[in-house]
Order: sequence, then C-alpha cells, then structure tokens
Amino acid sequence: MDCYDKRNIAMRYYVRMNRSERIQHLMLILSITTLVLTGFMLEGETWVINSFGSASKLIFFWRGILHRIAGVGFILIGVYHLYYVSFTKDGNSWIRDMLPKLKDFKDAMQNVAYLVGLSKERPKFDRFNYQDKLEYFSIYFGLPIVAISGVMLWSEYNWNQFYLDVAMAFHRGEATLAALAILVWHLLTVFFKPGNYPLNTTFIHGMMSEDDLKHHHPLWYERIKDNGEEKESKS
Amino acid sequence: MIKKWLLHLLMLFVLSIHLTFLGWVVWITYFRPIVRTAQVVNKQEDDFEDIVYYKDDMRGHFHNTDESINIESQNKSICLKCHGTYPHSKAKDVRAFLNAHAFFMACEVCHVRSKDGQRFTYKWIKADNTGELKLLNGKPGRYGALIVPFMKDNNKLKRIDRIISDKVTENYLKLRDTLTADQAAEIKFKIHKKVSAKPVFCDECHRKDGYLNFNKLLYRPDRVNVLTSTEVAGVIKKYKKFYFPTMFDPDAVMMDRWSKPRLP
Repeated sequence: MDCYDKRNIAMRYYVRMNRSERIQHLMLILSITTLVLTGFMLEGETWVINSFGSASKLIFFWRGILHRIAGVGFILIGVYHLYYVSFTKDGNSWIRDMLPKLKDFKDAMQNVAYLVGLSKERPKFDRFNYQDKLEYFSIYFGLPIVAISGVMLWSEYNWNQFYLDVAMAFHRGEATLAALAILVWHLLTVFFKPGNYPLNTTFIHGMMSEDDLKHHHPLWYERIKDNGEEKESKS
Repeated sequence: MIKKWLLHLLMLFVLSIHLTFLGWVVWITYFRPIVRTAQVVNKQEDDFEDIVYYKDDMRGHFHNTDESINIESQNKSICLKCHGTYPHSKAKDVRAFLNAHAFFMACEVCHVRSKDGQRFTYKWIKADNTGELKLLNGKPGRYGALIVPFMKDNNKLKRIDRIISDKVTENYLKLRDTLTADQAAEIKFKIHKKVSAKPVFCDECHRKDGYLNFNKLLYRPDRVNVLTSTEVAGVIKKYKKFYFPTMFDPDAVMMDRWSKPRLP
C-alpha cells in the first residue's frame, strides 16, 4: 500500500469481503456510531449539557430523532443480512464458514497456550477464526435485545413502568457491552494491531494480500487455492 | 502522500479520543456517583434560596411547581355557575388541592363514578373545545386542555359532562325564583341525576393501578411516577401532621430513585 509497502513487490490479492458485505459493514458503521453517540448523550455530564445553553434542548430533540432513525437502520441491516445469508450464494458460503465448530474451541485453547508460551505453534485458522466468529455472533445476540427493548422504550406510553425499567436496564446494559466490545476489541484491532496500523483497509476495498492470507488464514488459503475459487488482482 | 509524522499524529489523535470515550463509558457505568444532585441537598442553610429555587422557571411562587393558580379555568364547566370557581369549600384541609384540580378536570371525573358494568374512557379535550389533545405539552396543569370522561353509547363515545345540556341549567338559573319548591327540586334532581353519592377520592387515583390510567392520559412515565407516588396520596391522609420534602417535585423523586441501587 502506498509508501508504506516496504517491499514494493507485485502481490496477489484475494477477495475477503464482496461489495454487498462491504456495504452492509459500512451501514453498520454508520448506524452503530450514530446509536452509540446519540445514546450515550443521555448519560452526558450536566456541565457539558449546560455549556450548550438554550441550544441543548434543540440538540436533544434531534438526538432522539437521529437515534430512532439509526435504530431502524440497524434493525433493517440485521433483517437484510438474514436474507443475505439465507438466499444468496455468497451469503450461504459466508454463514457456512462462520458457523462455530469444535475446531474453534481447540483453536482458542491452543492460541491462549501459544500466547502464554505453552505451545510453540499458532493454530491454523480457516476463513474466520474463533474471534471473528465471537464478534459476528455477538450481533445476533445483541441486536434482538436492543431492538426489542428499544421499540418498547419508543412506545413507552403503552407500557407499565415496571416493563420500561426492565427494558431500560437491558437496553443500557447491552448497548454498553456492545460499545465496549467495538471500542476495545474491534476498533483497536483494526487501527492499532501490529500489521494493521494505521488502518486495516480491507473493509474499504475488500481485498486481502496473499501474504496476510497465508499468515492469518492458512487453511482458507489452501482451500481456495485448491478449489480454484480465488478472484485475483495484480497490484 | 501523507507525511509519516502527520499520520502518527493523526492516529495519536484518534487513539486519544477513543481512549477518552472508553474511559468515560467505564466511568459512567461503574464509578459515577449515583446521586447526581447531592450537592443541592448538602448546601449550607444560608444557601436556602438556592435549595428552594434551584430551578429558574420555578422562581417567584411559594408552591413552586404547580402553576394552576396562575391560569384561567379551562373550558369552564357549567357546574361552576352555581357552585362557584372554587367549588370545594367544606373540607378546609383539602379544599385547596381539590379546587386546583378543577382547573384541568371536568367535575364529572371525580363526581360521576365509573362502574364496573360501564367503564368510562378519559381524554384530554382542548380548552377551546376543538377536539382531543394527542400530546401533552407544557408544564403540569398547563396543557391547555381538560380531562373529560366519556361513556360508550351505541358504540360511540359520548361526553358525560354534556349529557344534560347547558341550556337546562341556564334556564333553571334564570327561572328558579319563579319555580315552586317541587319544580325546583325536580329539575335539580334531573341535573344531578348522574352525580355519584361518594366522589372519587384523592388516593383512589394517586396510587399505582388506580382509578385513572395516567399512562392512557398521555402523561410521560416519569410524571406518572410522581402522580402515583405515595407522597401525593399520603399527604392527603396525613394532612394534620404533614411533611412533604419531595412532593410534586420530579427532581426530588428522581433523586430518591437514584439513591437506591440502580440496575446495571
């Protein structure tokens, strides 16, 4: 890439995310960022809110509208993704490779052993490693919780206070969990993991270099090489 | 091409914003003191004014939350023609509370009881009688509307406070000196036919799952919490020995709630 490609040699690139997946991911970035920012504004420190003076009322009015729009967007992406993995060819292969297997459990144990020095070999990962799968399925777990509790809070007039308190606890708890997972895990990996710094650009162009593929997903590399599934481009 | 040092600087900026936000989320989730308005409570006595009038829009009135005293009665009930603007006068201890309610409720809300066989529906009707209010805007009691009970009649909702036409009452007032005692009694009986012997009492509404469904009356849940809190209902019962530091004050009620352990 640019001036930071130290070796400056011709390299094969493989498709890691197709266009639909990149668009879904982009929509997810937009909706989750909006949701986190406008959601945590509710927990805002009083002195910050007061510093906006009379404009704070207007800001908070739009905060509510934006949060709802982004929430609806988030739900729609979830629904579309279910369609995508169920009825499209690429989606089928995506979910097939994503489903948890016994190997993931072994990989996790071996990876921890490797990291603490008890094993000399890193586990060989397929298309998605156990961390990818955990992150991916955490959305399946989190989206229904925030969506249902969010819709309940949206239609607050129809609910008894008790249910609203429960919905609020779930909404806030799951939102905090998801925000922390993305901030601590996903974003730090994408930005600051050695090898990715300053930014892992796969989510923009969808490509992964042959070197990275061999290093991070050796089993997948073997598989698509043998099956001749690779789509390549010369850089 | 971006210069390398500029890129590092940019990434440092991204990282610092990232970590600041992260730290703040951890702070509000695990470490922020739960009682946020504690400083108001802990002020010294000479700061009394700040404690009582800590909200600007409440300044200037002793009963600094409910402003119904400043407003004209909305959509005046015909009952007030005979019973006066302050119709409750007998019970000295609670009459001020009851009269304050007359500013935003039809008399029939309390004085015509809904029976199990025939449950009434309650709605906010705009002060100028132009229809139903769909959203409560404004300060408590100042929504520009009146709560009116409705009854189902042939699958149509019918206002209970308009069953006897206002004209009957007006005519009676005009002619009452010319009527015999029997005639007057008969008309008065007709006018008051729907009135229940025992009105709905304060604590029948101001409690959880009470006579009126405040949720259906468009109140926000936090306001419903205030209206159904024990402070409001209890003060009527304990009037002779009374003490209400948090009554009618949403902030104080919130503070009370915050002082209890919060769900994660």
